[in-house]
Amino acid sequence: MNFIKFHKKDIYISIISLLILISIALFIEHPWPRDFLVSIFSFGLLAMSLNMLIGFAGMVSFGHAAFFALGAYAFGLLLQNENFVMYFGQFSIPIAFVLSVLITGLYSAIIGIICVRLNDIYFAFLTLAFQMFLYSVIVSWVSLTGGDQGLMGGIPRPPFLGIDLSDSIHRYIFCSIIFVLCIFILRILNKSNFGYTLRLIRDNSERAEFIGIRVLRVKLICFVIASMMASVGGIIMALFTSGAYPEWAFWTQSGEAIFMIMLGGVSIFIGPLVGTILLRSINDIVQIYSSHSDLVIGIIIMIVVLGLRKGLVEYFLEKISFKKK
Amino acid sequence: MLNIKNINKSFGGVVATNNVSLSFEEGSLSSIIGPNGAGKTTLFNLITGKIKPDSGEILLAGENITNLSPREIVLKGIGRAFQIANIFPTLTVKEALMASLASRLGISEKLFKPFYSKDLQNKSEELLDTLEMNDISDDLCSNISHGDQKVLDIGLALSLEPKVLMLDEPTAGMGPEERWQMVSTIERLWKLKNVTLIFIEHDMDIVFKISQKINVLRYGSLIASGNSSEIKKNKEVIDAYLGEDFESI
Amino acid sequence: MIDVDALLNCFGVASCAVNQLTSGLIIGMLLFLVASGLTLIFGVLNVINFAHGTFYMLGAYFAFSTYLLTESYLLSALIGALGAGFFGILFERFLISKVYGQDILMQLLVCYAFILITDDLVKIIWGSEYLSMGVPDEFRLPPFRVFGGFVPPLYAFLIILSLVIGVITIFLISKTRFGSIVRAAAENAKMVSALGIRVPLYFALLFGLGCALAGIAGALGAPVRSLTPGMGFGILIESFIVTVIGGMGSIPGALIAALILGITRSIGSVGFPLFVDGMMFVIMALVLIFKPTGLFVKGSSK
Ligand SMILES: Nc1ncnc2c1ncn2[C@@H]1O[C@H](COP(=O)(O)OP(=O)(O)OP(=O)(O)O)[C@@H](O)[C@H]1O
Ligand SMILES: [Mg+2]
Repeated sequence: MNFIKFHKKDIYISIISLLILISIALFIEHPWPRDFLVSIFSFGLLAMSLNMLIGFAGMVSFGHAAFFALGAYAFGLLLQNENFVMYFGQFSIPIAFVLSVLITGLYSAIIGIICVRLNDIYFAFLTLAFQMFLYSVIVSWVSLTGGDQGLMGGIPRPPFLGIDLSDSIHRYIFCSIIFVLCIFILRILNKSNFGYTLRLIRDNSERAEFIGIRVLRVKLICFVIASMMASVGGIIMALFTSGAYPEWAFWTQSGEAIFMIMLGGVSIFIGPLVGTILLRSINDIVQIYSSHSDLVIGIIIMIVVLGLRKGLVEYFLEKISFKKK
Repeated sequence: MLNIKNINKSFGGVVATNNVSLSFEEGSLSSIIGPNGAGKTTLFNLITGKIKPDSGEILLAGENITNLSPREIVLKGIGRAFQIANIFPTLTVKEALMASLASRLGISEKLFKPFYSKDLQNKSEELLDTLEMNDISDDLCSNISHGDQKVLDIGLALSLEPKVLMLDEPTAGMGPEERWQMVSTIERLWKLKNVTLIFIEHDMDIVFKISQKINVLRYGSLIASGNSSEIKKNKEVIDAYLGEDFESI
Repeated sequence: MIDVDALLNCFGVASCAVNQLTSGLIIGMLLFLVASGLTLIFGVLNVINFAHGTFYMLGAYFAFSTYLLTESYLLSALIGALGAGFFGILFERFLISKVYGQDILMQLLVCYAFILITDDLVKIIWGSEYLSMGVPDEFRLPPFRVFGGFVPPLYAFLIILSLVIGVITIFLISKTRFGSIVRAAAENAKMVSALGIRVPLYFALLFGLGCALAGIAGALGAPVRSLTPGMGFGILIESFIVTVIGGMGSIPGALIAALILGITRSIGSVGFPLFVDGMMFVIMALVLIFKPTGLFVKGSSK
């Protein structure tokens, strides 16, 4: 009860956001807002979970999209397996969901044990290297993953508890709920003892050790949780596209996620989500006007990083508070 | 309480600690002095497990703690503040103490337990009272004055309720007035908490005023150990501090 | 998973073994050049150049175009190296040096953006199809016979030249005035600039040198590899693995580690073709677990 009282505000915000998201599906028939929002749910979770590493704990990972992709592939492969669907019947989707998250957690624990001991430069590069390892496995293991082409043939989505995920409205509402729930969990983690321990480590890991914190263990736990959250993002994308694609495991996906965080600002809890919306919108607009979107996005990144030296959101917040004074 | 036996440590060719043996009585207030580079901080690092000795033993209340990790040593009851205030820039003073208290209570890894609990808040307010830092409790650690940062560093160590409290140059970088304020804070905390307190200090006035026992290091070796009057008369110490007139202090 | 028969068949026959070893050496030596640039930049500037592979790509494309114009392989290699070095200096001066000492997040983003931009520019200038330079005229000679195997002269030349370049680099860093200034500045930049030496200039030159090493590897390898935008990224990861195994900052370590990887790759292509990449990562992970500083470096990566 204490818990509810303590998080009252966050619970209200979550419920209201969820209601708004659902009403979008009920009142707007055109699929575009739903499609756009589902991609925000998915990549938003990637960015928000990455910010748990970068913003909360100061662990700059350059390979976070690996876990996003692993979640998607695990989910897709499980459901494409006829025996699996036969065995679990109408519970296939929830069970595949949970299993995929757990598989990702296990994999990230193995990677994490190797990586969390290293200093920040090594950590960034190593997470990147392991991401490219996963990418090369996905691309070369054609018989299982479909290689370059991605997971083909669609992902079966047997209905469960009256929810039919092949229906676009059902799917959208399901994804909204999962998304809001995950963001809520991240919020609780951020305000919990664990969240503050992460801040200690980010600020000064040596001192943290000297007040009795098990630094490596805490970092590892954080790494695993963040990876599992990213895998949920991947699962949402797999549900949405009814497939999984090697690009999700490619390094540029991680680079993009880092830029989303920077755009929105690492210091604001919801910042990465704002960053996701900004970058997705920029991407969509650039793709309409230019066939060289990488070039344009690259230039935009340079301008933001070298020109503003902080996220757009932080930049404008500072401008506003400056004017008020 | 704390016994150091024949500790040695060298870095490459530099002998930073040369066969040092020392003991600190329970509840005593001792100081370690010596010229720059004498190996004082190194000795602290050895005791607190930040670096491992090449040989020798460290005993805390009879228990061998030589090869434990910094964290294990902290939990055994040796708290430490650093030569350069070692704090958490983006947390507020109160949050830093609360987080440290959470660690003491063994709840720092609780994933879903709200950090701003009544219990932690009350405990941290008590500690803020003890440290006389109530008025700056909501300031960011990076924004408070240098002196306050040093006090907070001590507070972080104290929050773990240590048996032995080790302070590395608590008055470093302070003006005269601030210095003596710090000295009275140290004395007050020592009496209040009943800890065994060891501090490193360059200011001889302070050293002679408050230490019950003074240990002098030079080139990594312990050259003298005793109370103020003994140290003031010691020939080797006078040599080490050539030019300083001890008798007059 | 491992095809023992194929391995035995190949390594039982001298000619096949020689062929595999030569190709392993080529892979290894080119990788060594790229990795030595990466490790050099890290050793001195304490920056990991995440855009290092880009300079490998630029070297290859510059060499390709020069070869089309001049039909001289050696000139192409030289232009490849110089071009990559030049762009390396520009990159250092105008982009990456702006974020020295800042959050690693900023460095990552600058490199990420730089890779996006250059890959796209290469696509615009040279197209996105695979390009191939082919064996240059100078080296259309009958192969040497070694133990019943054939070693094309180009391969022998590449291996020897890479080794020579490596030795020159070590000499440059450890024995020349340039090297001692750079090393001193790495230790204490303030002190060295107080002596009236323009430290930023030296840092830029060193960065350029590192990039030129990547560039010449791309250029030299152009006849034996195909060119494509984005080709730099794979080699970046491999040269990172090399520096982890050999130890960050150690050029001799990079040589040995690169050879280990090269040979692993060529043996792997016979014995465990699907697991070649995996094997590299396994080796790296083992090194990280048992000797995180790398096999040939003392000190700490923590
Ligand atoms: N990690 C290390 N690596 C190499 N040498 C070290 C290391 N730590 C200390 N030293 C050397 O050991 C010697 C003792 O250093 P230490 O910091 O203990 O001196 P100190 O007595 O605390 O001096 P100060 O009064 O300046 O703080 C010095 O010569 C120092 O250079
Ligand atoms: Mg010291």
